[in-house]
Amino acid sequence: MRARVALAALAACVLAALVAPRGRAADEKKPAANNGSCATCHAGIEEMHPWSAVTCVMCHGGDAAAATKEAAHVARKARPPGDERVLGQGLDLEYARFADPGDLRVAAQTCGPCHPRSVYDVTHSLHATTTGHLADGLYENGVVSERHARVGVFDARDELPADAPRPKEALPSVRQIDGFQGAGDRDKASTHFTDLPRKNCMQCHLWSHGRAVRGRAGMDGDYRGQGCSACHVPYADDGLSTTRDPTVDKYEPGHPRQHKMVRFPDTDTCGRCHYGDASIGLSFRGMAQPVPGMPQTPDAPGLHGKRLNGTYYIEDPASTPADVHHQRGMHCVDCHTRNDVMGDGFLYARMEDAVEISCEACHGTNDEYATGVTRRGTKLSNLVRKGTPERPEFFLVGRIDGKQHRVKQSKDVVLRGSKDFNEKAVAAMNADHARLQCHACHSGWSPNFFGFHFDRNEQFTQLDLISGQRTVGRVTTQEKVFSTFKSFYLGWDSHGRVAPYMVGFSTMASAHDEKGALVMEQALPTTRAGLSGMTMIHHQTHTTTARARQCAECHRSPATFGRGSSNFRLMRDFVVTGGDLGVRLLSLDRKKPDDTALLSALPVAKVRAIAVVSDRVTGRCTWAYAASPEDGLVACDVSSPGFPRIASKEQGAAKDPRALVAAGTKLYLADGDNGITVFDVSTASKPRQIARVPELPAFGLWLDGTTLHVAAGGRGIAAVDVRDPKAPRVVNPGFDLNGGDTASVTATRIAVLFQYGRPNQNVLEGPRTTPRALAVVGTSDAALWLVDVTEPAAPWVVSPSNRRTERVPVLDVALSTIYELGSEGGAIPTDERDYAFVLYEENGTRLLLLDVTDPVHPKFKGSTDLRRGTQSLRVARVYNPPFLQTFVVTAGTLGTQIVDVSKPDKPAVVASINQPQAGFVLDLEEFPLDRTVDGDGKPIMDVSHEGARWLDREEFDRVMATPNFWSKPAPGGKR
Amino acid sequence: MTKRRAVLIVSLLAAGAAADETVKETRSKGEITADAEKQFARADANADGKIAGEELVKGWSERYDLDGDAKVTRAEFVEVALRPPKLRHATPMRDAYWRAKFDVMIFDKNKDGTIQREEYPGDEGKFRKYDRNKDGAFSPAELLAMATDEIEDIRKQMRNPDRYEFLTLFDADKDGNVGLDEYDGPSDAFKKYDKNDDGLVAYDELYPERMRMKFDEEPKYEPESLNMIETMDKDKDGKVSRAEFKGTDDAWKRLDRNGDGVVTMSDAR
Repeated sequence: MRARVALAALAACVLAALVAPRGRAADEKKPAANNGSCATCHAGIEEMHPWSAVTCVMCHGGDAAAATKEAAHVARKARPPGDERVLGQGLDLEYARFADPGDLRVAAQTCGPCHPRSVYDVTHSLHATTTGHLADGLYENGVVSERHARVGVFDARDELPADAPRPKEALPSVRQIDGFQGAGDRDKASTHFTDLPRKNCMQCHLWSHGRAVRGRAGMDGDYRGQGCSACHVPYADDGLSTTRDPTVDKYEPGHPRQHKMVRFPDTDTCGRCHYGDASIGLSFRGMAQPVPGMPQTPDAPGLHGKRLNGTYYIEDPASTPADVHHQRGMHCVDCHTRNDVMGDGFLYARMEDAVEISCEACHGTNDEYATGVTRRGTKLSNLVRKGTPERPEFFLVGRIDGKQHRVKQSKDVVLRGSKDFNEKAVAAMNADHARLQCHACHSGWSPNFFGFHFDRNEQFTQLDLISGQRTVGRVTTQEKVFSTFKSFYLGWDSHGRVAPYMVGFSTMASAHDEKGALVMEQALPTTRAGLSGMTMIHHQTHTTTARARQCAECHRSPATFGRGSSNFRLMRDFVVTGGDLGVRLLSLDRKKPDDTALLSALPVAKVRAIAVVSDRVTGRCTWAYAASPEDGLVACDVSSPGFPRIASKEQGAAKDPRALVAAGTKLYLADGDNGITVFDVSTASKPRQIARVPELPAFGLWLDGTTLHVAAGGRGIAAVDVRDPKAPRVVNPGFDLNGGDTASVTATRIAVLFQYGRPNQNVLEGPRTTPRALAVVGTSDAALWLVDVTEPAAPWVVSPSNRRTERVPVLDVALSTIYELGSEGGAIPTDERDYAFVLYEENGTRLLLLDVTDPVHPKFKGSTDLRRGTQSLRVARVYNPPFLQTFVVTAGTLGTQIVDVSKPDKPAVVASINQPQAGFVLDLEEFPLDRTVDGDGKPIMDVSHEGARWLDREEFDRVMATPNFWSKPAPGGKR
Repeated sequence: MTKRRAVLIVSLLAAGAAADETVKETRSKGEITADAEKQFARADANADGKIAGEELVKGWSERYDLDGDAKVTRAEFVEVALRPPKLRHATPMRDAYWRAKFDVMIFDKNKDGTIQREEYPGDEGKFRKYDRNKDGAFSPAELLAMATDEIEDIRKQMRNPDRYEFLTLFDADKDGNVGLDEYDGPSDAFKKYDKNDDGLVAYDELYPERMRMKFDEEPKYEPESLNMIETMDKDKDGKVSRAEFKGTDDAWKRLDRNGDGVVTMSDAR
């Protein structure tokens, strides 16, 4: 490998030497005697390149012998556009060189004579081509069928010698990305997406100077140079210069901090660009993009006190602690090699191909000490080995500050007798986890913004940043829908190892035509493979913590592997209710909930349970299954919601139906004292009973992965393993909530949410909080119970019902996480909280919101009166750009009500739809943005990187089947 | 419902459990007072004007000691006696000391006798108002001050109770109705809501007709089959226009399958 790289480097040098203007290079490499007349005006200017003598003219061009400014400076041939467009590669090069010698357009003449390989490499690196970013978006939004489309900002081709050894991932060429492809189907999101990259994604690469054009004020954090200067010439946050050069305007933003280069860019410099997308530049520093709607004031708690990139970032050690490497004073370049940052001369389509550093290069493996060599064979010059051969010690020398950092070795952590030995780590750092990336477990937190949204409006024009023309279609992006820093996802990465997954370029689309008519609204993308493009991709989260995640966060959380949760379900258009008036479809008006109205109805007698099945990709309802003691199980075709039809009735299939849960091709019915019945709905119109669990009374159900949690009436709660739906296995026949007390407790409703552990603010030493699968259990005679069901076979009560309210009957329950927005004044911080929504009977029917973020100490948050006779509820997450709202939709004997609970302490009924006797139960048309795999284990969401995928059913089952050997709840519930 | 009222659910349940008297009161105020005076005199063995220590009959503290000072004064005894039968006990809906005491019972999770900010689910402004020494916790005295103000508010509401507060204010036994044996508000308000004049304000009398349906009632309608033309075609022209349709633009585009601007039967499948 080393030989290959060396050969490639040599070839690059030769090539660059050929390209460079020979005579001039030879002349200019000589030490400069003086700077001629430049120094007359620019007296006191700092030395830009102190490592060797370089004159002004060698970099900037111009004439140092001229007597006047006009004669000395290079004249501009055309007026600069003054905007963010990417100038052509051949446009006014002489002036481009004069303005910024680091500009890639002229770097071969300025930097190239001495650094030919670097110039060649960097112009072919991902930092210049942006191929990875562009390719992911095109694939996920269904524009192209090939993963890793070979597109970039400009055409580029591999110009190294044909016989030079190449990595297998190297590309021969990339072509410039196309503009809007208006000839496509205008009803498809993919067509409109083609207008996005050239209008919105062209500011973040080395051919561009970014958003902060010189002279444009208020762009703190965005000011930077371009090309080589982007990294090697630091800018202040405010873009103001402190140079001693008297000619530089000290009040005009957009100038380098001083006329001074650095060999290594610090983290802040990297942060000039790495704040968008997955935001690793923010995460590493303990920051995150703000949640839409959160107060944006410098004094608001949990926010970075300085406005950067046009926003006040979240900086809250309690939820977004900085990466341990950052906390220890390290910078990006302390880990990332030159090849990582500047490229190795080859064209790549994926970051994971271009980046060669890995945790093991410094920390070694469980069996071997660090080699100090990257996976591409590059020797890390700043990793020092000391100590004895048997007991070596490793130190990393900071490239910026020279500080030495002791590098703990994985081998020592599991080596008994070593000072770094960790008993707990031995249980995890073993062969069972050999195929995990280190950051699968050591990823402290992940910023995820599910449901990015772009809007394209043909009533307006916008600048195509490459062509420089204003074209029809204004594209706005970066509209986040769901925000979460708690959730955590895993899958196989491109290298065949398990790694964290995060939301990447998936975007849903809205579009209007030139007359303002709606073309599409919140349309979900579909890849050419027919899978959902609202997906995630594996990431190095750059939120490393020394303390790893706890075992339960993977082995007891199906949501980690894309099996979905009650969070992040994006409400679509319809509500389906069931009651004595049959099955009824309501058209929910997101913007004006009070306009929600009856759309259609089907005659099914006494519906007591209902489940809506939505299309896996579009999220649009296709089938509704209604269970009735009179009509049995009824399959309703609701694919045309205005004209639904009954496809079949299975008389006698349900006797006392209480709940229905649909998952993949299976349907689970809680049939009261008659137990649980499992149906196969592979043929959606004809449900077929495949199994029964008659011995287990069932009044409420919650499916979490392959565990069916059951509200089992007087038996309390129970659990059934449905890994094989044809042979369900009872793993917990009943857990008496009251612990054998004589008072009756009849469990009728259950909802489950996995609460991930949170990193400690001191990510090096502090423990994570306890993760758990929390069940909220509603009873008909003893109010509400909070139960830890992390181990379904061995639940324990976290918070018992309050004895004084034990007579209160609970009608329905739900769990969901809400990003609660703080107060404008800053007294109340913005925080991600878990809420239990409880429908109960107390002098009428009431909705209660309990904050169960800490279920040991649940807190009352708010409540509101509902109409008497309300029987059931669902939490609907509704996106009304630019904000996500949370509604509770209820059904009851008087009809449907919609309660806005976006502010949980102030729930407010926003709509009451009168439909006497219409609905006792309801379900929603929704798309779960965190469900990547369906109930049968088949992928719903695509993965845009070749080789990367979700865990399949067998792998998932194996992970979940891991015995609970790591911990047992101690008295008081502490694991 | 306010947070305060949510808390009261608990308090009222406790109070309701204690109220076991169902005897209809036929005596006049004067007779009640005279009987109470006599009973007090019998109990006050040492004739010091208060019942305390061994004079206290079991359960009297909870019933008559309105200010929680471990003795029952003549005034307290008479005041309780003058209440309607089901309210003849100390209750957090009428007595500030007991309201404060229930606050501690409910909110004081760590059982230190005070209520810290994190224990108190009420709003920040109220907490700041009554945390007079600004130590971040309600002391018993501060709780009592807050409860006193709250009882004052309750008494204000009692003077002119609206239908939505009526049960909360007066339904001492939590049976969903208010009888004269538990009502201590103005008589004209009782008469106003007691529409059938049977001496009982029932839930159905408090709320409008449409609110009176019960879950257990038999359905009044048969299940029906409706399509969107039947539900939304207001002008009965056999088609639904965008103006007639209620719902999102996205839903409309889905329903108007042929994109002709109206939904007809041709859009059915």
